[in-house]
Amino acid sequence: MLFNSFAFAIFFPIVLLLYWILPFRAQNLMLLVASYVFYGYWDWRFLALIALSTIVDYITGLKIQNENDILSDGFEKRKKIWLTVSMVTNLGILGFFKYYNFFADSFADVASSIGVAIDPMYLNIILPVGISFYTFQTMSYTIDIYRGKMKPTNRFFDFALYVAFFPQLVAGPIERAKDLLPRLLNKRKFSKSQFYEGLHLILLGLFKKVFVADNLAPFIDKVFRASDPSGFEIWVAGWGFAIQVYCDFSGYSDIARGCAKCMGIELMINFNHPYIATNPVERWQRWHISLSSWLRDYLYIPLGGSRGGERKTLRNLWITMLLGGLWHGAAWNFVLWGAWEGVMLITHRMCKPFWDAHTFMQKIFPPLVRRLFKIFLMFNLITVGLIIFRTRSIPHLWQLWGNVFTFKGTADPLILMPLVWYALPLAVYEFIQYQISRDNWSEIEKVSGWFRTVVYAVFVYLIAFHGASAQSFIYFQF
Amino acid sequence: MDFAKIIKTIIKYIGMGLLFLFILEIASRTDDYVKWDAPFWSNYSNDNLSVSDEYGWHNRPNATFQKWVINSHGFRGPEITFEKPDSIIRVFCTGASATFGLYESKDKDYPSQLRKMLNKKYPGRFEVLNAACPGMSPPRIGHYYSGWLSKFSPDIIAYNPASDFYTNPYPPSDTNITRTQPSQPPLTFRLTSKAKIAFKGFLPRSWQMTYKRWQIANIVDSQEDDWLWETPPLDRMELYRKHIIGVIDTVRAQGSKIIIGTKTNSISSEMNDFDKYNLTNWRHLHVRCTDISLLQTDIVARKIILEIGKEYNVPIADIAPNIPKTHEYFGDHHHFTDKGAKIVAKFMFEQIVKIIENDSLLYSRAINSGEGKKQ
Repeated sequence: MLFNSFAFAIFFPIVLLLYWILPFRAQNLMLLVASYVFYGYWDWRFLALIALSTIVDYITGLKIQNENDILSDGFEKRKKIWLTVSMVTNLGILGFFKYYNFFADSFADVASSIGVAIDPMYLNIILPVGISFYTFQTMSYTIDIYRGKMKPTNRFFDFALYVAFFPQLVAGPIERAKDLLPRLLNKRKFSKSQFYEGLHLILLGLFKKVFVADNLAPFIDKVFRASDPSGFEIWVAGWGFAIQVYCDFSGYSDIARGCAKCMGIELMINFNHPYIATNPVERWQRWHISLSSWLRDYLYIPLGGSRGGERKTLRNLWITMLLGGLWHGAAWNFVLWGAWEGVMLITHRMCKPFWDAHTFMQKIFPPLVRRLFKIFLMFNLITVGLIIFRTRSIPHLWQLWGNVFTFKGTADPLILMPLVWYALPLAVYEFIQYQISRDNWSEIEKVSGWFRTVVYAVFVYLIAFHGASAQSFIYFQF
Repeated sequence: MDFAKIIKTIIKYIGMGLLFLFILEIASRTDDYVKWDAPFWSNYSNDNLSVSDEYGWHNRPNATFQKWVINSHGFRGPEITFEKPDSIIRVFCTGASATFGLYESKDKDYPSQLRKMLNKKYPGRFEVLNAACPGMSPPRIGHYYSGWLSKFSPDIIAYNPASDFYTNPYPPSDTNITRTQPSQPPLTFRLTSKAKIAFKGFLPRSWQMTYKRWQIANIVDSQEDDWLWETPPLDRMELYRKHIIGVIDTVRAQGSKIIIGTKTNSISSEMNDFDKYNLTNWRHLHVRCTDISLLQTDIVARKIILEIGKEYNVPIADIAPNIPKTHEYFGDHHHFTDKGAKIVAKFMFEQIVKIIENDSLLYSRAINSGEGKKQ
């Protein structure tokens, strides 16, 4: 079910109404049923995968904790076995449904390049929506229990709700069990302020998605589908895609957080103005925070993190980003995108001591100018990566880069107009909101209700009468 | 909380609600002003596009609404003079909404595309005007032609007669050629009509279809058994034939030539979701027909037009079998997109070129090397 669909417009108020009139225990049960309805509305057959992941992780969580409690001989080994069961199940589901065809295809390509013809068996399967999100979420649960960072719950249905909680089921944020489970296990109290904040976030999310992202999509698609677009067009479309993907994904996160808040449940902030980042590290502290922190805690640190010297640190960073890229999609352009992001992080890490030691820039330019320059540079470096992300194939990518770096074709500044028209209102709004409140709801609440009414009316107008028709969220494919 | 505070809170929320609606209305008017140059304060609706007077129901001169701009004589297209310049061949495209243009972008309705095609072949020689009006049935067109269009001395009338009027509960009559002008209240909320359209767009098609099918079933159930047309209503189709012949006679009596186009619909035999949705909407307007008889009506209508063509020696632009039945070409069950209108224009163009080439007078005007009026 899409957040920007009529079905959800009917579904959510009903769920909300039932939620607040039911007693606490019944609330969770109802939310679980609602979450399965929400997912099953897209394709009920794949509910079995969520159920399988839930059952396996529920059992393995309890078994690992049991070993932790008993501490009998060989408990470490048995813990590892249970953890392996969880990992194999989740990564198996992910690998089978998301990566099988990609690896089969790549294997055949490699074989043919050395003269061995292989006709791989492809699976005629569709990618279950949100599979990367809920498998990562459940894996973090068993890993955290294994590490002794949390205790498992023995309440099966509450755990099932943690896995399938509908606002964040299909596109995150990827919540950790130690954060979200207690919120689901404890009684929630209705707060008018939290409810209003929820509505505020839903409206903002819809604005980002329906007005900005979906309206920009046709202009960007047109350039990336064109047989031979000009270099300027590609670059502008790259900027546009950077804005589109941010508004699409952060819009989803805002709506998810807003829906949860309306039910008195907090979800983590997933995007924090990523395009004002001045370096690649800050960029990943602001962009898809739930994934970047997941990769840090469950991939980068287990690989060794920064513990094994500079060379190993750089290697670990790069591997993490490479796999992070692959998480986004089963195609080589995603791997390349991850590699590019890794290169940026590595370069930044290697060059930082040099930049810190040489302060000539600081002497020439005032801080604001330097900051704006860094933001602009960073935005364009991100755009480089997103062009890789958006391409149809590797040959297509070479063609695009060829056209960009040879300045092929003409540069018509008018193609910037959609960006200005659709993205500027959001940029202005986000700037003002940040200046007034630092995105803190208690500060936003202090702004006159009359003034907010005017702003909300303009948002509603643009969503209702200038919004594109319901398009699915880009991150659903991941 | 004391009583006064409760009242104050209620008043505050009502005030905010009203402010919210007020801002939406202002945004709506500003939007129209910026996008369409629409008047900010006065009424602005598609009702203003037409008028009913002694010439019947037709486009209101100088009216504008969104992309639709009517010239001072009541046509879509460039301004023309009453007196036809000697060097010009004047073509009027007439018909109902499919000719007038609903989904086509500005200057992409079929008459506009036809104008470009003709003036490309015979530079500056053609005035092509869109003289169609939504809801203009054949008898109304005959009346409008004899009363108004003929004053402009058109050389050629390109006519796309819709058969839909004949499956309405009441068929078009020879006498009732005017309509009651819808009365307009002094202040209309633009938000209301926009909200209706937006809501319809937001509502899933399957839900809309279910609701409309339910409405159709209710109407059919409330009628006698023989009320429903299981096959095309032949008496109505005979009336269609009679009315088209009437238009041909009227046009020819004034000295103009006429081309008739066959009408088609977007419903393909695959019956995909787009087809089902369009068929439901179409059927909703013609509840006396079944789905099958409605589709067959178009087939019968085409047959009638082909027969008339032979019998009365009228050139026929046989568009129906040549236009792909997909949403690229149709915006709904029978209104065209830019691409669909281009095909209609192409077929009309071919027939017009044949007429020109077979008529020495028109041909000499078309190829006359003198300075033609550029459009």
